[in-house]
Amino acid sequence: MNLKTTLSLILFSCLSTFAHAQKKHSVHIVENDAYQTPLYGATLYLKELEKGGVSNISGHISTKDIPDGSYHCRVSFLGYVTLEQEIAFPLGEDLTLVMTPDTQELQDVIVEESAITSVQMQQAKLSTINISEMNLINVPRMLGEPDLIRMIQNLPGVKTETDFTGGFFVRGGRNDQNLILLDGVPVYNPWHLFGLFSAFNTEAIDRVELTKGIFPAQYGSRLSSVLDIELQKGDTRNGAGYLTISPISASFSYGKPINQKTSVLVSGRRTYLDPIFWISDPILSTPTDQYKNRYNFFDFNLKVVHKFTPETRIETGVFYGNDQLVANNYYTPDDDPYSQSQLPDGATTSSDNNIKYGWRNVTGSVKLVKENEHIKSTSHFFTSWYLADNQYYYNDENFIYRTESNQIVTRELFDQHFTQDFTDYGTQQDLTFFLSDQLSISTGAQWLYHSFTESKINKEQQYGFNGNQSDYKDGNPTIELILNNISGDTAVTNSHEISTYLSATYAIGKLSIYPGLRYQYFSDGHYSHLLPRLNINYQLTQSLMFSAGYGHFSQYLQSLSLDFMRIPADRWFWSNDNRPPALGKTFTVGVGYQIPKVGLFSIEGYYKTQTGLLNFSIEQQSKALDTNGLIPEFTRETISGTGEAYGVEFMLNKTKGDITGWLGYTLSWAYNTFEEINHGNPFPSRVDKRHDIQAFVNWDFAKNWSLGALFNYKTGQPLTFSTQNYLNNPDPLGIGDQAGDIQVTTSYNNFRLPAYHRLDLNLTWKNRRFFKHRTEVSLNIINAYNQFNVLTIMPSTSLEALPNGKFRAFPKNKYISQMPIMPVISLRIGLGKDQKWKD
Amino acid sequence: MERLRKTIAPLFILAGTIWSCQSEAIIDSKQPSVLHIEAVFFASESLPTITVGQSVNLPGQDMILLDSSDFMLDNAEVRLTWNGKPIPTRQIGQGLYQGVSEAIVSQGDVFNIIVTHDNRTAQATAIVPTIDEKNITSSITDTVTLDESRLTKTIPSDTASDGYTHIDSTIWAGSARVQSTLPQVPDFTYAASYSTRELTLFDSDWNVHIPSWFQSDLFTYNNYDKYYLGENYYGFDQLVINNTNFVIAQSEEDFENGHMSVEINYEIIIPEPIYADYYQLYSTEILPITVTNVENGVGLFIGAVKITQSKNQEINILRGKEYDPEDENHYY
Repeated sequence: MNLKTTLSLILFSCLSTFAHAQKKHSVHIVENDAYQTPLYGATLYLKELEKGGVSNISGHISTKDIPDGSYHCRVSFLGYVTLEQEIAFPLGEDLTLVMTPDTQELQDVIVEESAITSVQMQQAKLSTINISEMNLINVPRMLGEPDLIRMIQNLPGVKTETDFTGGFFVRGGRNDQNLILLDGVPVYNPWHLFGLFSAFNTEAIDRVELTKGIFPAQYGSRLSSVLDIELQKGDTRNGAGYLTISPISASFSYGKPINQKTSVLVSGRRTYLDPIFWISDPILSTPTDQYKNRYNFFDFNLKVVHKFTPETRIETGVFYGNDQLVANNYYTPDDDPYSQSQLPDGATTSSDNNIKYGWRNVTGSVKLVKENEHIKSTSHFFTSWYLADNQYYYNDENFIYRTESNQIVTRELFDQHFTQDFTDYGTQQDLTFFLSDQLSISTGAQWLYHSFTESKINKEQQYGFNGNQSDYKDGNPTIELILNNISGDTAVTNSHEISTYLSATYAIGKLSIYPGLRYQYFSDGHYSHLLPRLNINYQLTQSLMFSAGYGHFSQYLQSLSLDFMRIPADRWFWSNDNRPPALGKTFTVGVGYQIPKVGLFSIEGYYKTQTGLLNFSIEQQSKALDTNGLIPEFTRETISGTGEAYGVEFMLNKTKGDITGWLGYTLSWAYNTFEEINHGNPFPSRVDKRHDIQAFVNWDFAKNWSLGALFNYKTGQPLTFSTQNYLNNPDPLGIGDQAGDIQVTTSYNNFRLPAYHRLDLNLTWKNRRFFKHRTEVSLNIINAYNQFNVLTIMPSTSLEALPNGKFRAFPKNKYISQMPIMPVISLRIGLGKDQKWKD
Repeated sequence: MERLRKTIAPLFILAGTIWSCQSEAIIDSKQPSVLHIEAVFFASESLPTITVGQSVNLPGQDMILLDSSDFMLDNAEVRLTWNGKPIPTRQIGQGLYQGVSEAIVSQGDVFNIIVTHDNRTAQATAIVPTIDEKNITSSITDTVTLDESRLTKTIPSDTASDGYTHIDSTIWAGSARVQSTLPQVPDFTYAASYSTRELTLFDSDWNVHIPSWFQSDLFTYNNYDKYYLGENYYGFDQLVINNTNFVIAQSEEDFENGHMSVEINYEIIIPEPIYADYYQLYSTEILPITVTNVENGVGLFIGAVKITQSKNQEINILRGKEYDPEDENHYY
């Protein structure tokens, strides 16, 4: 039976069951806003039956399995006032229950211990962390900026390379193995300030889920994780907005209903580092040496939702993120041997140096959503554009020197330009059939058209004048091109990525099964993969759950960089005939225990293998740096290898009470093997940090005051380094080489930096008034005890032979530190009439 | 490059405040010492001296004084074979060992060495490459214009007021382009050419005030080249190298004849491919894995082919411009 037939049969089966399921009406849980926004995850608990149900993504709870009768029901949802009322079953029609947000602060919400929690746990997957439920705002903020990715980096199983590196590394995977979706649209390089912050405006985010383990078959094209970010809808704001001011940027977000059917959310953020350059440029500049430098980042979100009917809506969204660094130096030397005074009349000497680093993300999407008790249909059209444009350019104008033959070189030009530009056009159809309390089936298909252009140009040109000096004095010389070195390459990839999937959620008593199958086809190289996924949860008791999962994954796009540095010049590679895709297999097993009055404690182990991982060889990395310009010149030559990672994660997530937070510990291993590196032997990857402890505590210690503390401990990062030295013969061939080095490094990433630990604090004073607006003042202290965490080593050991036959050695290895102590104050100001805080 | 750094420096003021901390530290990688073996077997030459040593741990941040015996090993057990046949070795100096044989190394020879010292053993194999010398050809520019250039010499003197005697002279010099063609080899090639006419200049104490591009050729040693071929030259079966050779007229007789005989010398060295990695991987930016072909140790134990050829060629010479000290624009 081929895949097509199988899918057809399953779909037919689903629809048959669907028809049967239509006989019963459902309870529909909505918020009391103007649009009756469905509440996903609300629980309905029937006291007499001691059982209940959880609302699906469209807010419906099926009543098919509830025996006829009248029951005392309690409907609850975190952050909303609990409803209690008698309900008679069967329902004559759909029953809509409207929940009101709890106006009290989070610490005042009373959460009961009951079977409700166990119902919620049934749907929880241990590998999935609902980040939006966590206290994102009170996590200490680097430079005062609340940042989603910085917070994710502090979760168990997630690692980062350094304080300055963007991105995150999940369970031994790489940075590029995370599928980052913004309202369902893939975003490729969403970082600001060279990776210090993510490009997502935290204030505009509604829901964030990070799936570290076996992510559902609905998702593909990445090996390690899915970060699913959903922006807020304007109707949840009711005219509320926030203005956040930190030392480096300001952001705002504002949302409101336009009318009964349409709502809008708009948010933006821009840095204001400009004054730094207004001050520094004049200080650095001299009459002959002018500096003009600029750096800024900017991001913008717009989301418009229009409801045609309570069940049908259209969502459109635009995201724009831009970083631009420009450094310009205009130089007119006056102490040069061939200075102005020595030049012929009319000739000038100057040089112009320019550096540009810029990268930009733009996404746009239109999503048509139709949902009711029985089915949810999402039709999605989107585009995602990423551009990295890096240029180093200098132009020495009329830099004249004279030769014996009166040749005058009048202009030297060096231009190093590296751009990557890729655009995705995609369409996707997802269908979920809520067949019963026990069974729902999802299916869908996606078509992605990738258009990727990369160009690298190195231009070195000299324009000169060949003739007598007198000719030049008498008039304009004829400029001739006397040196013209132009090299570079351009790669154009246009490919189709087509996928389809089928997955289900099925509960049999205490057992919940989430099987899935994804078929993926990539046109460049004609790769096709059938990727099974399976998650199983077993609810042993109301509080204790076991979980296991297994899945196959594929990835057709990888980004490569220097092993020790991530910059926007990272080079992206698509799979093709000569470059097979990366494939991964992951196995997880875990146990979760709901600790009364505390929260969920989970232990999860994982084992994953990966093949087809791309890398640059050491030689290629070395050559990339050996360039005349400032931009590393990566080749298109890649090597391919494998990865292996395993570990166990412990996490206690306390979401209730005055003290909330989480405590995580990860014991993990991560290795890579490349035939061309480390003699083909496995070596620890950069994120192989054996022990990793993260703890975040938020304590609402007084009315309007809260204290957040975030502590991290990590085993030192692997590094290639040695203090073993030998008397290297730098010129074995006797030809004047000064090659080689005296350090003995016989294996890759052989050395570990000292352990990393850091405490960040956040003190928040809420409910202040600032120009009649509700204001929150935060003092953030990053690295509170100023720990010297090592970023890297600058190796510098010299050996000098003395005349008496002895040797003088100068080991001058230096540690370069990461972030020192940094206190920063930031403001968060409520705007609009309804200043409902999203804490 | 310094100015460039200054250009971008303010852009990282913010980052600088958070990144500026660095500290010299006592860092110890705690690796064991390894044996060090070094030798290059050139074809057509006798056996080279083999260096046997060890690595030394240098942690800390203070100056350390070491004895050569810390690096160079005496009384090591050295077992050398040449095409499978054992060759006796004797120690000729601290850490220096010599294979005892009168034979000359040939292309294609294989050497194997096993060194044991203090319960440590390292071994390596060297293979002398095979190159067809017949395919190496060269040609030289047939006509060269010689311009008069200024020479100066400064000699310490007790009588001169500033303690030096300055002597001026001139020289007639020009450039001759030499083109060499050699068979393609997959990795590293060193190729040099020079004329006997320029050697005399190198040997003198004269400061040569010659055109800047000449100076560049002469004193930055651009008249030899190192080629890492690899992927850059993939698909070619031969390599064409252009060198500039400095040609000087040593007497008026040369001009009277209108031609002169120039001896052009070529030196080409083609080592084992691992040398390409060794040469390429040198970088102050990153610390790569030490390039070695010594198992359980470090060092290069390799073979190489060195080809030297001399060719006498007749070239036509033309008298160019005379040196004019009054010419302000005549910068040298």
